Amino acid sequence: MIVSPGTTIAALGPRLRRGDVTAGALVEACLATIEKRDPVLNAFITVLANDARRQARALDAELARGLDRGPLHGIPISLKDIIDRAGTPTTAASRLRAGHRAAADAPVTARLRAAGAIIVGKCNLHEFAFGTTGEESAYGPSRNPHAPAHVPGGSSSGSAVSVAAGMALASIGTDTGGSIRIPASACGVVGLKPTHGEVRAAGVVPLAPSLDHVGPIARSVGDAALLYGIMCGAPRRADGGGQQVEPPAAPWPRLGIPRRYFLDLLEPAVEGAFADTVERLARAGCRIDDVDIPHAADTGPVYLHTQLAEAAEQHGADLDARPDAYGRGVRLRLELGRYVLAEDYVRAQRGRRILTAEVDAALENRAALLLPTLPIVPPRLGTDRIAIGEATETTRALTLRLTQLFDVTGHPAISIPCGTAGGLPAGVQLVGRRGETEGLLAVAAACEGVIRG
Amino acid sequence: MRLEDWREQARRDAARRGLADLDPLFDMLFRATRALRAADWARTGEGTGAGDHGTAGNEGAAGGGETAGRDADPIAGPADAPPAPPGAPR
Repeated sequence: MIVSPGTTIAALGPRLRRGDVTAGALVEACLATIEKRDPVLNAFITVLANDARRQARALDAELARGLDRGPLHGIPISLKDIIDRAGTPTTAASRLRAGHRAAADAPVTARLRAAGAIIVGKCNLHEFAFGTTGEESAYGPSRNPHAPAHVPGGSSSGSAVSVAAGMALASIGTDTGGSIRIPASACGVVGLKPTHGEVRAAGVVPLAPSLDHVGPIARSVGDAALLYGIMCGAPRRADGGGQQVEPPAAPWPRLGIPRRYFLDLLEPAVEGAFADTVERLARAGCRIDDVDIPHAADTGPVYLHTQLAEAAEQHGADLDARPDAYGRGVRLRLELGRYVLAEDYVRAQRGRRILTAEVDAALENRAALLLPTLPIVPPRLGTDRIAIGEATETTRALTLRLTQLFDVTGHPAISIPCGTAGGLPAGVQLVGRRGETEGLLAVAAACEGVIRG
Repeated sequence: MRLEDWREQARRDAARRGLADLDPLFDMLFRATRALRAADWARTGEGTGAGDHGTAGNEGAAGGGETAGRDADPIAGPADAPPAPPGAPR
């Protein structure tokens, strides 16, 4: 099996260059998995089989001639279907976009393709990236590859499914409230939300521009770092190597757990998985202490007033012209944004400044914050509300609870797998300093090594 | 605007537009707005200083959709072939 569950881009690189495997064989392996599993998992809206095969042949020929584009040369990846790929539809999983065809690659797509990545297809998502479960899509819901009756998380649902199931070696998603990290956690893969603005969002259908982030979903922290470097436009090395992420030198970096608010409402299985992770890291020598973000409980209202108002502004004209082209739930949430008062939007921006300063302060003298990615086990499809202890919350509010703060503040954050909770994948989240995504990746690589054992 | 007045007016407007299903969402937003306005920083004026709200760079962040920023990236290639690597003839 060429693409087994643990196969990474970094491990394939030497094999490709030795000729042990070809880009063509990798593409065929991914397409075969799509054919076998996607009828159930529904990760893809558009599969670009012929195009991927054509590109694989060209890239194999280049390698044979000694032309090496670097670590993504000949690697099959997928794109969330709100990211433009020239000549293909960008549906945003909405009937509203029927008939669309992108005239050009989004800059991030262009960078990845120029680095030799092969786009095998465009992935399903929660319509217009406005949801956290992947259930509301004009193309039907995606399903969790580890338990198809359960959600894969969203909104980059198909992207995470495609990586976890071996339909692609990596994917590109977007994250406005947690939409890369949530499905990465639910599907057992790595999801990176870089510092806000590091990866260009041009050519990506916006949801709430001041919150929108573009980032990779991958099978290891090292692979996420490779993709991140190329997405940012980092220069490629002449020897065909790529940006490498090295764990920080000893002593271990200090991590802070923002216990209040973030650990107040966790399902017991998640609490157990997180406690095990903390214990492993501590046993490995990691210095971990508690830290406080005093106004963390204000995150929800600050996020909501920002996200709703900006999304309504993006969709106002279409809501008036073609309201029935939206899925019912997404349309209602977009309409709700039209009722947010200007004074409350401004108030929310003031809250963002305070929360940003508080996260900055929590990171003083610490390499990263450490917390779970999701407070719940990925629920069954159709679950609207979940009880934790005596509290009952909407699934949407719970899935956003631990991730949305770092979209509000723009800090880089990554979710890495940390075993299972309730029989399904669980993820732990690391949050780094603004503008220091590479430093966060280095810490995450170290933690990944310990957690994977 | 007082929150109670806002909710009443929003409900009337939504009903007029055939969107009575928004009612429970108005209740949710009402609670969130009440919490936002009750935050201690919202009442004291803390955080009113100029400056960003935590976003670094913002390169292209306000762009989006199929028309945004097309002319900014020099490495975009044709749709049906791998784009040329740097230095390759075009």
